[in-house]
This record gives sequence, C-alpha cells and structure tokens, in this order.
Amino acid sequence: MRMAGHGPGPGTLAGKILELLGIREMHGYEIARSMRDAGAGGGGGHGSLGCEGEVYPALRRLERDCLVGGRWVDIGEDVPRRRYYALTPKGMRVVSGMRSRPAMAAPRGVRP
Amino acid sequence: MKGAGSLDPPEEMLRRHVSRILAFSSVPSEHEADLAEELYGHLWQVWQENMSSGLDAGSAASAAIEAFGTPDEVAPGLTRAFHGWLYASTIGVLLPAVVPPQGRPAGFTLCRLLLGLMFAFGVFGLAVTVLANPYTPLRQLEWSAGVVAYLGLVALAYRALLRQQRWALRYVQIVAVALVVAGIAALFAHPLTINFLSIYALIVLPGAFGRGLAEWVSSSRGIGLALGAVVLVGALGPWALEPAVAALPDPTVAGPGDLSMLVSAQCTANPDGVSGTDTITAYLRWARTDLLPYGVLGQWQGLADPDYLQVASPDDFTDGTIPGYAIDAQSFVDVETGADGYLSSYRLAANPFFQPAGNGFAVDPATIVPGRQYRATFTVSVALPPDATEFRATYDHQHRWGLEALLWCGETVTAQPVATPDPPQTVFYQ
Repeated sequence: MRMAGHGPGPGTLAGKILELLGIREMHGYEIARSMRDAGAGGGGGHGSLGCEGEVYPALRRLERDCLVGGRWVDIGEDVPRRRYYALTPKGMRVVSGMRSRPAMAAPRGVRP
Repeated sequence: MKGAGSLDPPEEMLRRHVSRILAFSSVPSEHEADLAEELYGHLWQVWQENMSSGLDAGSAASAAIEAFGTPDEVAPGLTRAFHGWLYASTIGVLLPAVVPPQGRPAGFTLCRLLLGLMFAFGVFGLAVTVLANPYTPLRQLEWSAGVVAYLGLVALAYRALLRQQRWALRYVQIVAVALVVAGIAALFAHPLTINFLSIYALIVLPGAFGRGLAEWVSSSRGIGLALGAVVLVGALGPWALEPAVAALPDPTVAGPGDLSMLVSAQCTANPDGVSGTDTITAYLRWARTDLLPYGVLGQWQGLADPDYLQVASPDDFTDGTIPGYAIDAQSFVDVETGADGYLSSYRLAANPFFQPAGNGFAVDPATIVPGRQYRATFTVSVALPPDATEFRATYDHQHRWGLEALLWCGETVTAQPVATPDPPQTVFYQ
C-alpha cells in the first residue's frame, strides 16, 4: 500500500523506524535491535516487531516512498557489508510532522 | 528443505534461509542481490553475537534464523514492498523472482520447451479459431477467454519453473501425463490421429519426474488446496474447454428448438422392377433464424455460412458398397409465395475417392422468413428396389446444430436434433 499524503503514522512500524532514523543513520540490524530494546518487539501489536526480518519490508517500502535512502558501507574483510539508512528531506518532514502530533491509537494488526 | 539442525556449515544455513525467504517472495530481479546481501548480513551479525554470548556455531545460527523469522512471516511483506496488493496476492504467489544463476537439472530444458510448445500451439489455435469462426459470438468469447487464461497460466509456469517453483513442476507433470494419455487414446480413436505434442510429452516424462527437478523446486513453497486446484484445472481444463463451451446454452442464436422439420419419402418402382424413383420431401418452419452475429440481414450480405439440406443413404456412408443414387431434381420453395430459396447443390462423397453417397443443397438464408413454411424436395433415382433404401435427411444450421430424420419409403418422420451434425461433405459442386 502506498503511503498517502502525511506518510506513516507515529505508532506504526514504519513510523517507529522513521523516528529511529531521525536520531541517526542505522542499518537494518540496528533498527531491529533498537526496537526490541525499546520494548516494541513481541506482542504482535500495532507497530510492533513480530520478528526481526519484518524490518526489511518496511525499510524497502520507506525507500520506495522516498522517505529514507540507503547506502552500502564496507565494514572489513570477511564481514558482510551493511546497508545504512538515513532520512531523506521528505522523511525528515514526515518525522517532524509525527513529533508535532500525538500518536493515535490504531487497530491491532494494521501495518502501513 | 533440510532442517536447521543439519550438518551444513552455519553460514550455509544462513544463506539457505535467505534463499528460502526470497523464493517465497516476489522481488524484482534488480533488487534481489542487494536484498539477499542485506538479509544475510543481518543473520551473520546476529550469529556472531550469539556465538560471543557462548552458543556453539550451529546453535547460534539456528537462533539467528529463528529470531529473523520464517519465510512465511517475512516474504509476504517483501512482495508487498515491491508490488501492489493485487499482484502480491496473485502473480506474486505464483511467480517469485528468484532466478538461480546456474545448475539447472536434467529435464529442465525439455520441460520448459513443452510449456513453450503448448503456448505456441495455444496461440495458433486461438488465431485459427478466431479466423475460422466456428462458434457463435458468445461461445467464441467464452472459448477465447478460456484459452487466454490457459495461455496466461502456461506463460506463468514457464517463468515459474525457472524460478524453482514447485507448482510449475507439478503443472508440467500433470500436463505431460495428460498429453501422453490423450495421445494413446488418439491412436485408438477413429479416425486415427497422431499427436506430436503427446510424443514430445513422452520424451519429457522421465525428466519431469526425475530427482533433479524435484530437488530443483524443493525450497519453494508447498502447494495448498487452492493452488493445487488452480494447477489441476489449468492443466486439464483445455481438454474440457471445448465440450464445456458447446454445452453452455447460447440464447443469442436460434437452436434446434426453433425449427421444425417433417420429412416423408415416396418411392416408385421403375418398369424394370429393380430400380426406382424416390421423392423425399421435407417441410421446414423456422421460429426464428440467428439473432446474432449476423441476423438475416447479415446472412443476405453473405457474411455467414448458408444452411444446408442433404439426403443420404446411411448404407452408402457405412460400407460404401451400394452406389449412391443419382439426383434428378431438387427444390426449395416458400410454400406460401412459391419463392425459390435454392442456392447451390453439391454431392456427398462416402470416401476420399469421391464415391457418391448422397446429395445436398444450400439454402439461401436470405429467403427464410421466420414463421413461414418451406418445402424441400429431392427426387432421386436409385439402383435398388424402392423399398430397399433407408434415407437420411439432415438439416445443418451453419455447422452449429442440426436436425436429422431416418426414414424408409412410405414413412413420414419428424426430424430430431443432433448435437453435432455431420458437416456437409462437399466434395464437389454440381
């Protein structure tokens, strides 16, 4: 589903990813672990992370919608490269918009 | 699929998990490599951390895989990230985008070629049927829709087999078996036909059921009830398509219920006492003619086939030993007005050697007015005693349906519908 107008809501998985990327550039693993550490993991609720792999579809959707941009970074020999994501200007505007309005309750199980 | 506890090196377990996720999803090919590397990088990093926390390499890899999620949990989201909902829930299921670079197993090319041939023959058949127009427009539409759906499935299977999809292999297997069975049945049919696609399917069979292709598709998703039904119907449907379309009612055209035909035969012995002169008379009344596609006006404009009336002796058709009779005269007139609707005549042949077997003529459809009564007359000379011949009078409505009456001299019979009338065996026109 394409995100219309204002972008993802603050309580959604995509919204939480944007909030994290609003702090700093991160790769998918970092995002997943940050969400788990912040208590967003498990429970299966709205915007929660059922499993770590769910981060990647959300990241690709955000990239498709030009809210984030990705770049590959070489870490070292024998270590897989990492793809870091950062907010685009459009993504920054969406994050600013999310910060200026309170998170709205949303139905369980609905993701962007 | 091998379980997570297999003896493979842990990194291989991680890579296989990524492959399975991609095999369950439909990701555009230009994103495949990037995504695979990214997912693997994630698993690798978790694996390393798990080992740092004291797990052995295998257990650490299994834990990383478990935390990452199963293909069923991750793949649908990936498909939807790149495609719309409709694509993701239809073609995205049938046609994930993983294309392995090498190592195609034995039988792979033969199976794909079978699908390619089926597609080519299907397109050819569709084109010929559209041009030959043997169906009414409604049935043509139904038939064409069925063929297009069939072609779409064949094309999907062609691509899906390359992408290691189990359903595509099952489709090929069912089709190959069905083609072989149909080919064997055709050998015992009359007339005997040889189906070259069936011969090719016989060549494909060993590879299609071989171990190589089974392993080739082993990492793809299983076939559920719904997908299994699609595969089965898609594989066997083409054989049922034509009879199904023929059996569907078509309210847009006249049918056998719209025509009554009463046939009588009067026979007179010749002075020689052996031969005779017989007159077969048929009274016909149409409740209506075609409404579509051409109507009576279109028929008058020559856009449709004419209707045919023919009289033949069944004996002549079955064994060919009795010489056909000679036609002396035939006519087709409007009983009320006397208008002549006789168009052209032809002779029927019992075999390719032009052995005469009967006579027929075409009715000018432009003369037919629904509700009027028409009289068709055949006067024939037979080289047999007048009471020794059984006649068959047939009306063929644009090769779509017909009425037929079997009668002996002195009888009057109401013609009965025949589902597939014999074509007017027009060998040569008089």
